[in-house]
Amino acid sequence: MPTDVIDQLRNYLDYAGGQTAAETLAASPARSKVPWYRRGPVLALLAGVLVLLVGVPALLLTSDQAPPAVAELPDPLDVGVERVWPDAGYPGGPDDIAAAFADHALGWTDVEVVSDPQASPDGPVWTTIRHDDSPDLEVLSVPIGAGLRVLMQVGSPGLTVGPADDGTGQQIGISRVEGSDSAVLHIRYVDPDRVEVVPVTGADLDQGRIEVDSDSLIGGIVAVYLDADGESVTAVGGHFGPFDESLIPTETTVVAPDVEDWSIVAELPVSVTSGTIFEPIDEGLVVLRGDSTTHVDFDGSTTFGEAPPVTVSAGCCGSAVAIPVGSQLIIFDAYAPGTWLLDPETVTWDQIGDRPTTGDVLGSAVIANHLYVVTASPRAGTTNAHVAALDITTWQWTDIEPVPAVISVGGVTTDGERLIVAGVRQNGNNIIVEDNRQPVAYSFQNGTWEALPDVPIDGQAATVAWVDDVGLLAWNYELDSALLGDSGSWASTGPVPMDFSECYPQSRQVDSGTVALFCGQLAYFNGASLSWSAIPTNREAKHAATSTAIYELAPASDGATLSVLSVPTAED
Amino acid sequence: LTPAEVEREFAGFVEETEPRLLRALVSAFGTEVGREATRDALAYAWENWGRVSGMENPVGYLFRVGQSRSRTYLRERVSFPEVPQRGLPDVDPRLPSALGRLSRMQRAAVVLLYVDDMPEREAAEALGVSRASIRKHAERGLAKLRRSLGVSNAD
Repeated sequence: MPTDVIDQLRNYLDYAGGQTAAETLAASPARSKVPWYRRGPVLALLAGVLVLLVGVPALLLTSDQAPPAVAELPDPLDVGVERVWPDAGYPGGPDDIAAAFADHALGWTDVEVVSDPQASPDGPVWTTIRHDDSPDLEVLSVPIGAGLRVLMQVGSPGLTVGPADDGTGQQIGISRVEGSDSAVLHIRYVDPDRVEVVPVTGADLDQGRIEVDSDSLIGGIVAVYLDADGESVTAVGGHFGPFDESLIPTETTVVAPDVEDWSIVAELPVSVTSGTIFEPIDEGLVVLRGDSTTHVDFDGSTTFGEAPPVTVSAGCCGSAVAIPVGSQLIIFDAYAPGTWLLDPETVTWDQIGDRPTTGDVLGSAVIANHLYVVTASPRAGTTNAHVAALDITTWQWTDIEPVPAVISVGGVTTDGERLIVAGVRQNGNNIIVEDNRQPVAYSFQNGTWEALPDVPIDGQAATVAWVDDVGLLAWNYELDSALLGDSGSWASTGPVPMDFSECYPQSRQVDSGTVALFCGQLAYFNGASLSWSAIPTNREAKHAATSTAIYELAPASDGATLSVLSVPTAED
Repeated sequence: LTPAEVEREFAGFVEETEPRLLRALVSAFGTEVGREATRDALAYAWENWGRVSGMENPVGYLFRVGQSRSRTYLRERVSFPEVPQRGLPDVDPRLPSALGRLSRMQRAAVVLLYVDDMPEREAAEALGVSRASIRKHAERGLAKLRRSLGVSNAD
C-alpha cells in the first residue's frame, strides 16, 4: 500500500476538515453540561461548531430505506443565451478558448490545441483539441470584440431540441458516442435565466433523447460525455436560442413565389420552421415536426398522427433522416440505429430492424427491392463510407461492401442499376483533406465497385444526380455544374442559377431532368437542352419533388401554405 | 440503556467515526460543504441512533446521508485550502490542486479505501457502485495524484 501520498492526504484532509466537533467540544467550557449534538443551533454556534441544521436531515430522511446516492453533478458551465460558451466571452485567441473549454467542461488540463492554419485569426476559427486517447474534439470560436471570443459549436454529432412527446416540456436529442456510458447536460434557459445541470443515463443515450420539464426557450447546451468511470470522453455543444446577429448573420431574402407559376393548393394547419421535414410519398406528402406527423393528400386534406419516434428539431441541424420509399417513409436518427416505418393510412410509426451503422448520411437510393443508405466516414476518422441495404419487402437491414473511399461529404444517386457515390474527405473545419473527386459506382451485377472519371468541379459540398437518358450530373455549393455523358468524359454545364449560400445542395430526379434544392432555392436542369433554369421560390419554405410536380410548404400567419408547380417538361 | 448511557455510546461513536467521515466528505465535496455534510450526517445519526447503532456499515451509510445532504451545495465549486507554510511540513503544496483535478468519485474512493481503510465492500456501498468500480476509481485517482505530485509508483 502506498503510504507516502496516502499519509500526505490524510494529514492534509485532517487539516482541511478543520477541528472535529468532538475536538471543538473538548475545548469548550460547555462540555460537561450538554453534548454538542443536543444543544441546537445557538449553543452550537456559541461552541464554535456550525451545527446549524441539526434535525433538518432527520426530517428529510425519515424513511427506513437508505438515502439515495446522488448523481455526481458538476458545477454548471457558463453556457450562453446567444452563444455556446462562455456567456461572457473568453480573453485570448482560438487556442486559448479551446484550452479553457477543455479544462472547464472536460477537466482536461494537459491538452494540445491546434487551430485551423488557413483561418483568419480575426474571424471564426475551428480548433482541434487533443487529449490522451480521446477522439479529437473540434470547436468553433468567433471573436466578439474587446479581445474576447466565444464558442459557437462544440464537436459532433449535434444536439437537437424539440417539444416533448406529451406536449409538456421539451426533449433534447442526444446520441451516444463511442466509449460513453452517460452524459451531463448543461442547459441555458432564457426565462427564468439559469443554467441547469441534467444527468443523462445510458438508457437515455440509447433512447436518443431526454425530456426536460421546462418550456423556457433554450439558448446554448453543452453535453459532456462520461465513461463508466466518470471520466470525460468528449463533449458536444450547440446553440438553439436567438443568435447574436453581430456574430452570425441570419437575415434571409424572402423571394415571393411567382403566383403565375405556383398554384396554391390549400392552407394547412401546420407550422413550418427551419427544422420541419417535408417529403413526398406515392400517395401524398408527409410533414414531420417534433410533435406531430401529418399526412397531406395532394389535394391538401390532412391527417394528423403520432409524433415522430426520433427527435425532429425545430431549428436547423437536426439529425433526423426521413427517406421516402414508394408509398412509405422510413425515419431514423443519423446517430442511432433504431429505424421506423410510417403507415400513411393510420399515420403511425412501426419500428423495424436496427441499421447496421450510424453516422452522417451521405444519401440514399432505391434500386429494385432495396433502399441503400450510404453512411459517411467520420470527420476525424479514416473509415470508408458504409452502405446499408434495407430490403423493402421484409424491412430487414443488411450490408454490402463498403465504398472503397473515405468520404465525409458528398452525394448518392442511381442510374437504376448501379449505386453511385461521390464526395470528398473533409475534416471538421470543412477543409478538404483528401480531394478525391473520383466517383464510384457499385454494380450489383458483378458485386464490385468501379471508378468513374474525376469530377471537374470542386468536391466541397457537391451532390450528384442521375438524369435519365443523359448521364451523371454533379453540382456544388459554389454553383458549378458538370455532366458525365455518353462520351465518357465530363463537360461543364455552366453555373446553377441560384444565389450563393451556405447549405448542402440536394438533387431530386424528376421525369425530364433534375430539380436542384439549395437553401430554399430551386433550379431545374433540363435533360433535353442540358441547361439550367431558375424556379422562383419562397426561401423560407420547404420543398418536395415528385417525378411530375414540386410542392412548396411555406410558413403563413396561421400555419402554412401548400403550393404546387408542375415539373417543367423537356420542351419548357 | 439509560439516556446517559446512550449519550456516552454515541459520543464514543462520534469520536471514532467523525474523522473518517470528515475526510471522506471533505475530499468529495471540498472543505466547506464537506464539513457541513459531516455535521448533518452526525446529527442525523443522533436523531436515528437506534437504527444507525445497529448497522454493519454506519460510516458508509452516513457518507450517503452526508452526500444526500450536500445535494443543495453541488453547484458550488469544490475548493481545497492551500497547504499552510507551517504545520504540515510533509505535505506537498501541490496536493490541493492535484486533489481538485480528480473526479469527485475518485477522491471519495481514494479516501475511503486508502485513507480510511474502509473494506472494499463497505466503500462500494457508501458510494453506491460495484466493488470493481470503486477499485478502479481509487486506482485511477491514486495514479493521477501520484502523477501530479511527481511520485512514481515505485516510490
